[in-house]
Amino acid sequence: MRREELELKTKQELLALARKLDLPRRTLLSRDGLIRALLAQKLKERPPAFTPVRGVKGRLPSAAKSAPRSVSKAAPHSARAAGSGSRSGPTPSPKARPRSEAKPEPRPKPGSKPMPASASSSGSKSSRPPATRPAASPKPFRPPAPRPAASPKSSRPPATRPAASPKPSPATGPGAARSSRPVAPAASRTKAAAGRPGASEAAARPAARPTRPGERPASPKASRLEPPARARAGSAGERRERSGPFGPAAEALHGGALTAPAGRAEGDGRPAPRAALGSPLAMPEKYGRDHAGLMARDPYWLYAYWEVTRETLDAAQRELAEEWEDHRWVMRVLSRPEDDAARGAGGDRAADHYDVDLPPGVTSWYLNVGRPERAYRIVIGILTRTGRFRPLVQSNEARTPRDNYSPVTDEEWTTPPEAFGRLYEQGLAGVREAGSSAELGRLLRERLASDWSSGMLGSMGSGAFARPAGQRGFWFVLDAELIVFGATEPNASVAVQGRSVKLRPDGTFSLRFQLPDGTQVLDATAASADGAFRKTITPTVRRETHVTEMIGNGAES
Amino acid sequence: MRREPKGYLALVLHAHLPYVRHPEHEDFLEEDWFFEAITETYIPLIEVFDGLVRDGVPFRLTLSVTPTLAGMLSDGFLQERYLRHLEKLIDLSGREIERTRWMPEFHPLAQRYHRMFLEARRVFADQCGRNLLTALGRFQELGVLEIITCGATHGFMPLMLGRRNAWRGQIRTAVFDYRRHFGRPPRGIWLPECGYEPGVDEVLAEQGLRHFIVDSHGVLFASPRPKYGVFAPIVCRSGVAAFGRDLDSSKQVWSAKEGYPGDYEYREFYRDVGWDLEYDYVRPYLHGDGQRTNLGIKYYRITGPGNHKEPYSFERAAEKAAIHAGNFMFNREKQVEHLEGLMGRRPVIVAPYDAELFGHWWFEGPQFLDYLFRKIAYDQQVLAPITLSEYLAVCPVNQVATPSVSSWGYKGYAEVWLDGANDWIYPHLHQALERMIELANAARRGDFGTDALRWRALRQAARELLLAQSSDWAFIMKTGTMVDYAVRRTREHITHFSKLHADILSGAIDEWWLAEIENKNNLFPEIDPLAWAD
Repeated sequence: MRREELELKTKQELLALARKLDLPRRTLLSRDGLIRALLAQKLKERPPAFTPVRGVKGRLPSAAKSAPRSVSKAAPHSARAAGSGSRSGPTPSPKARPRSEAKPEPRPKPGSKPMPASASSSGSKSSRPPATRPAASPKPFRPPAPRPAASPKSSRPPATRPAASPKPSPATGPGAARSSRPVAPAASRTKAAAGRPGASEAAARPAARPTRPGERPASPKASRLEPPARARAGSAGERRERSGPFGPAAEALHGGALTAPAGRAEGDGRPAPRAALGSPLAMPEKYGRDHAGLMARDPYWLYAYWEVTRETLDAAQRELAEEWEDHRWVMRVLSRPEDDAARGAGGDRAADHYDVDLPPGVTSWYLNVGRPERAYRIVIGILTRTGRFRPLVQSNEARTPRDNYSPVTDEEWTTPPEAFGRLYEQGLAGVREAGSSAELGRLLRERLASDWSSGMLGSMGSGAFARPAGQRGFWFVLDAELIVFGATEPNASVAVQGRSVKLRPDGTFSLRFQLPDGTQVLDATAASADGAFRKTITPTVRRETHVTEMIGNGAES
Repeated sequence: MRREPKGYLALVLHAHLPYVRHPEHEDFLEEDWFFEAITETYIPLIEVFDGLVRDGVPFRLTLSVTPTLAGMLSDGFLQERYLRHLEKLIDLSGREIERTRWMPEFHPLAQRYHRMFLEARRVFADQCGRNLLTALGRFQELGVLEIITCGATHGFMPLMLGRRNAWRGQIRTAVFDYRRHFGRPPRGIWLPECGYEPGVDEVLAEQGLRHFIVDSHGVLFASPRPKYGVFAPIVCRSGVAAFGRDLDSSKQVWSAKEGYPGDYEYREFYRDVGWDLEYDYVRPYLHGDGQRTNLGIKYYRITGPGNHKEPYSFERAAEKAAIHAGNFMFNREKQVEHLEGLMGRRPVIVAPYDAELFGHWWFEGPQFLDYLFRKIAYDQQVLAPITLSEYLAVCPVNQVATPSVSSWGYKGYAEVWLDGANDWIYPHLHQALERMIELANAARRGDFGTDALRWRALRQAARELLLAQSSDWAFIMKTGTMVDYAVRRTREHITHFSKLHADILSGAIDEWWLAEIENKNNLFPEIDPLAWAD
C-alpha cells in the first residue's frame, strides 16, 4: 500500500482499513494521521528486504530522518499533514518554503537528501524501525553520462536545452521539487498583476493584457492597429541578426533543479486544483527543467507557460553582475507570418517582436495577439535597466489558426466567385446573398459559437445538454403511496386485486402502490396449498387531495 | 428500378467514453456513464442495425469506437459489473410495474421499461456474449457499418506542442488496438474532438489511415480554398482525405433549442425515478453514498418549457421520430439536388454526431435512425447512404488542400480544452511527454536491454501518459461538473507516470506496485512504447 494509493481513498475507506489493522484510536483523527498510521503499520508487516528500495524512492515517512537537509517542518507537505487534512488554502509563502522540500518524484542525487514525501512525515510518530531506512544515499539513478547527450531534441529549437546540460532531467537537484501549485488560473493572475506597481502599464497594452481570455478582440483588425512592436522592442532587427529569425537564442541555459521567477504569487485566493480533492496526490509540481510551452488557443489568443531553473537564473545573475539590480522579467513575443499569409494579403509580412512585462512569480500567461495565421515563439528573459535582454528560456513555435477562407486558390480547382458564394452559403442555411467571402467567414464563426456547434455532449456525465432551468420560485410537491403487507402459510398462494403475489420464504409479503386520488378496493385472497382453505380480506382506501395556494398574507389565489 | 443517386449522406456516429474502471471500489459513480451508454445507446443501436439487416434495408453508417470505449466493452470486469447494474434495473422496473398498478398513464410505461431491460440483458449476455464489439464487428463484415478508430485515449492533438511523437503514440496505439478487436486495420479515424493541426495527417498516413473528419471550418478554411466547400473531401499532401462536417444537418439534430431532440413529445431526460420517488424505495438502487442519481426510468415527456410535465407516450414519440426522420431526409434531398447542380458532381453530406446523443440524451434517437434509413431506402431516389471509405472508392479524385487548425468544440478551436479551469494540466502533460520520448529513445538504443521488468514499466508508463492525455479531463474541468474526478484522474496518471519514469531510469522497479497499476489501468495490452521514439 503506497501513500499515493492511500491518498486516493475516501476517509471511510481509510477508516475501514485502519479498523482492520486494529490501529489505535487516536490515529483516526485526521486523514493524514490515518494515512501515516497505515503506512507505518504496513511497514511493520513488510519484510525488511523491501524497505530499502522503497526508502530510496522516498515513499516512506521516516526515511527523511536520514537526510538532515530535507527535514523541514515548514515543507508544504508537513504543513498539510499538521493541518486539518482537508486544507485548501494557499501553500506557505515561497520564501518560507525550503528548497529541499522534494516531491513525489524524488530522485535524490547521490549524496543528497532523499525524498519529499519522507520529509512530510518526519515529524510524525512513525513507528517504522529506523534500521530499515537506507542509511547511505541511494545508488545513482541513471547512468551519469549517456542519457543527456542522446536525448531527442532534434525537433526542438536547438538553443533551448543544450544537449550537454549536466542535469537534463528533472527533480534531481536539491530544490527539485519545490512545491508550487499548478499554473495559476488566468483569473487569479489578473489579480496578482493588478496588485503590483507597473501593472497598469502592462494592462494598457492591449496585446499583452493578462486578462482572462473570454472575449476575443472586437475584430482582429482592431488589434492589428495596435502595433505590438510598439512595446519596448529595442532594436529587434539587430538581435535577430545575432541569433536567428526568432531573436536572441537562449544561450547558456543550464538544466537542473529549482524553479523559476520568484515563485508564484501567493494568496491569490483561488485554491489550487488539488485542494478540491481534499488530499494531495504526490504529483510533481515543477520539473527542474528549463522549459517553455506555447499553444494557440484560437486565432487570437496564445497561452504560454514556463519553468526556469535556479541554475539558469543564477547563471544569468552572475553574467549580468551589477546590471542585475533593477531588472524586470519580460516575455519577449516573436512572430513571423506563416507562409500562406505571406503569399496572400501583404499586411503582415514582417517578422517582429515585442515585450510583455511579467509580474513577479507568474509562470503562465494568456497572450492576446489578435493575429491569425502567424507563427509565434516566446522567450522569457531578464530586461535590465539599460535595455539589455538576457534570455532564460525559449518556447516552441506555435501558430495561430486561420480564421477565414484562404486567400490562396488552386487554378485547376478554381470556382467562379459567384458559384463559390452560393456553394458556401449552403453551409450557412438561411443566409442569402452573404456577399463577400469575408462576410461568409464571419457568419461561419458566429455559427461556431452557437450552442449546437460543439461536441458538447461528448461527456456522459457532464450534463452539458442541460436545458436552462425554468423559472422556479417557491415550490412544493407531495404524493402518496400505499404499502400493503401481510403473512400466511409459506406454501399458500395469495392474490391481490386478482394478481398473484410472490411470498417471501417465511410467508410474508408486502406490496407498494402509488396511490392516486379516488377509491381503491384491495381484495386480497389467500388459499392454502391443498386448496382446502381460502380467506379474503378487502380493505378499501380512499385518497382525496385538496391544494390551496396563498400569496403574501393569506390572499388565496 | 433504382436510379443512380445524385449525392450521398454519410452519417457518422462518434462513440466515446473515457476509460473509467475502478476495481478498487465496490461501486463507482462514474462507471454509470458506461452502463447508461450501453443500455441506452449501444444496445439500442445494435438492435436498430439488426432490424435493418434482417429486413434487407440497404443502410450505411460510419461509427467510431474509441480505443478506451473498446477497452471497456471488452473488459471482463466491467462486463460483469454491467450485468450487476442491469439486474438491479430489472428488479426495480419489476417493482415499478406493481407500484404503478393504479396509475394507467404510468403502468404501461413501467411494463415497457421492464421489457427493455430484459431485452438489453438478452442482447448483451446471450446475443453478444457480453462483448458488444463482436456484434459491431459483424455489421462491419456485412459491409453496412464502417468502424473507424480514434486517438488511443481521445487526446486533443492541437495541444501537444506539435510533437509528432505524441501524435504517433496516440494513433499507433489506437491502430494496434483496433486490430486486436476487429481483426483488420482501420481505414479511417475520428480525430479526438475533431482536433486537427497540419502534420497530424502525416502521422495518420504513416499509420495506414486513409481519412478523418474535421469540423466545417477545418475544410472551408483550408488552403488552397476548397472548390466544393464541405461537400467533397479534400486530400492532404500526405494523401489522407479530410471530410468536413455539414452545418445544416448538424444543426437540425444538435441544437438544444431548434433541434429535433427538444420536441415536446420526446422523453424528458431530467425527470427520473432516481430523483422523483420516495427515498427509501429507491435507496437500494443508488450508490453506496446514497446520493440520488438518474436510474434510467423516466416517465415524462418534455411537454414544454416550464416545470409542468405530462406522462410520456412511446407511441406518440415514435410518431414524432418518424416525422423528424422524414423532415431530415427531405432537407438532405433538397440539399443534394441543389448541390449537384452547383458542383457538377455528386456531393457527400457528412453528418457527424456523438453516438451517445442517440438514446442517452435523445431517447428516441435510435428510432429516428431506424426510420431515416428505411425512408431513404424506400421513399426517395435522390440520395444514398454511404460510409466514408465507400465514398472515397466511388469518388476517388479530390482536390489537394491542407485543412485549417480546427476542432468541433465551442468556437471551433482549442478554447474548451485550454482555459483558466484546465490550463494547469499542460505543463505536466508536456513534461510527461518529453520524458516518455526520452525513455522510448533510450529503449530503442538498447539501454534497457532485455530487462523484462523495465519494459513492462515502460509500457505502463505509456499507458499512464495516454490516460493523462484524455481530452475528457480538461473538458470536464471546463464544464464544471464532476471536476474533482477529472482532477484526480489527471493527477493520478501524472503521478504514476512520474514514478515509473524515475523507476525505469534507476532500474529499481517496484514490481509489486507495478502489477497493481497494471491491473488497474489495464488497457492496450499490446502497447508499443517505441511509438514515442524519434
